[in-house]
Amino acid sequence: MQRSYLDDPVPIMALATPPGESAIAVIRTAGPGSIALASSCFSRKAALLAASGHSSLFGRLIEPGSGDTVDEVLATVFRAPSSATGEDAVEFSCHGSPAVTRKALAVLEAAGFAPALPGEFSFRAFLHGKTDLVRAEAVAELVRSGSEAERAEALRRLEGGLSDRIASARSQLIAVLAEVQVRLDFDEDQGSPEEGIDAAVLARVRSSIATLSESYAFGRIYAEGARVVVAGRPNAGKSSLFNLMLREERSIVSREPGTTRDWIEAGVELEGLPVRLIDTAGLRDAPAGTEAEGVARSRRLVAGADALVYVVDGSLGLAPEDLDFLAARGKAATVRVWNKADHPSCLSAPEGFLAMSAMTGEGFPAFASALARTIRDGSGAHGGGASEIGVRVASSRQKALLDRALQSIDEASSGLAAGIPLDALSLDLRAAADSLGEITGEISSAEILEAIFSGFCLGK
Amino acid sequence: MDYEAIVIGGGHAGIEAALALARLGRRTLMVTQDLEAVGRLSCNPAVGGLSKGNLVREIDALGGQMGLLIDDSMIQYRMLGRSRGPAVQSPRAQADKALYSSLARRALEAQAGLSLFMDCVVDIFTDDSGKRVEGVLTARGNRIGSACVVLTTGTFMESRLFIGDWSASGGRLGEPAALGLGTALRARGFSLGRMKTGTPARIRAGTIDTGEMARQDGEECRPFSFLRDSVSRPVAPCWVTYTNEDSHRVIRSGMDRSPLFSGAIVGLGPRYCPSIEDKVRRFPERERHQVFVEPEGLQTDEMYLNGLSTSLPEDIQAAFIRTIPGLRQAEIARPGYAVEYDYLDPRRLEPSLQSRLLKGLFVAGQTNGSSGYEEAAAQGLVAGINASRFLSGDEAMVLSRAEAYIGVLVDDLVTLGASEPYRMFTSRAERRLSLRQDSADLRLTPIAAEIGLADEERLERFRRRLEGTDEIRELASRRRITREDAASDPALGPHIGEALVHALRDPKVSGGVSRFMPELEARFPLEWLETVALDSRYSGYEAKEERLAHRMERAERLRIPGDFDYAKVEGLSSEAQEKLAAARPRTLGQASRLPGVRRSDAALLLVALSRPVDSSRG
Repeated sequence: MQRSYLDDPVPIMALATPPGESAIAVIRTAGPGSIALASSCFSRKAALLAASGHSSLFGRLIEPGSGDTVDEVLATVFRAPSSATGEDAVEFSCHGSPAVTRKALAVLEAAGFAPALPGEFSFRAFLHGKTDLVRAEAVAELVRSGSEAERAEALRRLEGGLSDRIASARSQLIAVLAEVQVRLDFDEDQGSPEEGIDAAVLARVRSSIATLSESYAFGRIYAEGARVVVAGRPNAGKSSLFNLMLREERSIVSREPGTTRDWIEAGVELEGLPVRLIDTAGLRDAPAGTEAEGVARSRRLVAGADALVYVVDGSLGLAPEDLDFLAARGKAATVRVWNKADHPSCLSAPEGFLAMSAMTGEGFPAFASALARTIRDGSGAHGGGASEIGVRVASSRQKALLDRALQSIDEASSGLAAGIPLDALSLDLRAAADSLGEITGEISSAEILEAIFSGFCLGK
Repeated sequence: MDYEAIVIGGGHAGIEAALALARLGRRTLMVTQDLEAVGRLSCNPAVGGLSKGNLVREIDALGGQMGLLIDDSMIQYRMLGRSRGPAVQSPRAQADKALYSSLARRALEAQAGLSLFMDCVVDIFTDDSGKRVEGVLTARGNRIGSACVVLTTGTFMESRLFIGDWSASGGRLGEPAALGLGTALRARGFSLGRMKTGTPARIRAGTIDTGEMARQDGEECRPFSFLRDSVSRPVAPCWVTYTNEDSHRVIRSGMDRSPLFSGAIVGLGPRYCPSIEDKVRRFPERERHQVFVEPEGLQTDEMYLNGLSTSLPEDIQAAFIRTIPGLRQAEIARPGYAVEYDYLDPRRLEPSLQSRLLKGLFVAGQTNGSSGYEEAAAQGLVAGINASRFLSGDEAMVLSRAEAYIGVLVDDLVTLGASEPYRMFTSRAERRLSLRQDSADLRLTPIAAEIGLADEERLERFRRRLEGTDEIRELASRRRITREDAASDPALGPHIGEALVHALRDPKVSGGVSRFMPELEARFPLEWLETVALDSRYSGYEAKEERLAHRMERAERLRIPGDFDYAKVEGLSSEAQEKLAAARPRTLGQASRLPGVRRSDAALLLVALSRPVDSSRG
């Protein structure tokens, strides 16, 4: 049966470092009984069981049945409540080879650890009062983060940047609620304002929530990576360019197996931006008969991309198909590559195309910075309200809550214009307060009353 | 036992408690220091107001007395909040204070099974276990036995009055405090605190110049009580004037002698009812503050200066009042003063208002840290009902937050306590659209019937009201919006052919049932027509409100066992653990409203309460 977050807390485990080749991989476990369970897979069972909190032991991760060694590891023991989740926990640091980590995870799962649900460590930390939700989400992203800019972004959020911004939107909303509530709870005789609610007050709080919500696009790129699709006619050199980028730039995620998907995806870091590079080559080279489906899928990938790299074979020049595609693409974020510049019969690159060679790497630096710029521009990282606030909303949960708050405020605004009475209108504002409150803590009626008493001179 | 129940105090809480107990057949004694003073309106000469009017109507719907008392003593009536939305509008009436008080006394005297006795309770006594109340001891040495006691001491327990540098023991100006009881309760381990409230000066009507003030009249009087179809009363106007810079200068000159700022008063006062000196200090930019000059009654010359509550020295009071247009020659009959009094921490009460410390002891009104006649009366009624049910071993009547402001009031008090005198606000109610003043009987009279507080007359009227509103609803769903309607009002254009009850849901469509079917006004009381119109108008919003409150209701339903061990909840923050252990909330909803209990704590509790107890896991 599927586990859920609200089930009884069982011991859980997960790879805490990004998958792929690295010097060290860390496997986290946590939950009641996790130390005993971990010790069953550890060469120095008694020592691990007796270890005090925050102590590390060197030993071997073993397969309990056979006693076979999986890897030499460093096991760090945390005892409740002094751990990240507030539960007993053991962290294994092992060698960062995919084969080793895969085997280690399999052994631990066989021993009784359940694979953690997405964000479950953070959820438990939240449940145990170790962190608030904004922090919990930032921690999760910090753990996942693979690039410097992303790490800095996550850190900035941890330091409360986002909390501050949301808190300020929150206090603006409280002020609006106070404006409404004072009219509902106090008669004009008692000092309640005679005039109705000013639509401009609603507009102000709307714009501050909207700014946060809009910054989601850029925040998502840092948290999840920008989706960059490499497209072009067959044999234009898409795969060569794809491979060149993996070679030239630090690769975070190793190439995903092509067996389950018919496109290839890899993670690279581009001027500090995490990028998920998607080669659609497999789609076009699909067996006959599935061609149409491949094309449709390719279109969907292109449509969902943050940027597109369109590759043209410079020795062949532009075909009508290329022109049609690019015309349809219009102004959307696109880098046009004039490939095979090293080819003797290569034509000169037309306006708007970057000449380069995916084979020799010629022209690559210019291409890389053009792509990074395109991603930033497309996500609103330059100019616009989103960049001014300095923090980004990265989690889709937060984005959804902000959008729900916006929707409620819009309903209140249109209600105000339609002449809906204030008592009914206050429901929409209350709903907005609930949505926003889910991000940084509830807006209580005591807080609203506080705002009323400090802002209005009341009482007969 | 001499009596089945003793009610200490004859204020608004005591009256409701005593009447409810006697009406439910309990041999009841009310002990009060002064039988002349029962039902006194100590402060403003008005009953009702936003959310408070709802309380009065709920008290009436449950079989209480307050609605009838104000109906028969009102000298001006207004429906407040009309411009803010029909769901929050609420009646307020100016009262003839002396008449109100004498009506209260008459109601008590007329009640079979209720005895009245003038004395001052100085202590309670218990059985040998010390855990069950058995009666009261009085200042004159009377020892009166009773299986339950309702404590409604208002502002009188160990109270002190303050005017400038002057201070003396007293509960109201000229009336002695009830000394001894607070000290005795402290000795018995009760948790008592101090609160403060204040009142303005009363001036002689013959010394004011109404030519310099704006006249404020009420509207046609309408009843609070569901037992009345109409009210016919002589009315009197109020007068409106304003303070000015001169007044503020005089007020500032007396600040150094104000007991509020000198530290003489330790109790907390209400923020929503600040003294004039507090208003001047906190809002220095305000050039003027509104003052309402209100008659204290028809048989007295005294006028109440609403908005000028003060405890400044008397010379300062006289001086600043005389800077105000219309009051330049005003003669003070009674100065304004502050009163500081003992209250019991209401968090030590069950939702029945019974003490957790002492079985059979019930506490209501200002003694619980509330403020206001209506809040007091509502608690008195709840305490009286539940004291009677305690005697018969029935389950306590606990109204939910979704069915009555009374439910919100009691739940807030016993869960959150009172950090300042607690006043009702509509915003305290999550379901305020459903808690309309006109629907109080629909919500609560069935409960009164079950408890035994709805007499034949009330039940008969209630039945007629139900049938009447059903009939109106039926007629209004058969009445279609016609082209002729739309021709005279373009807002009706989109609704041609629609039933009236549906068209009313559109906020652009003004008026109610009687606008379209004026012939019904002759057949049905106005209020019934309004109820049907508002039910239609608010059906959509109420559904929305219900969705919003849904999360809350789930939490309200989730009960926390009385012996629940918070220490066993893994990861609960220590602050929350402490707060929860002290407050012992009965539901997760109550727990989540406690200050210091974070959302994560509530989430943890949810998890802990949702799973079966498993002792095997550490």
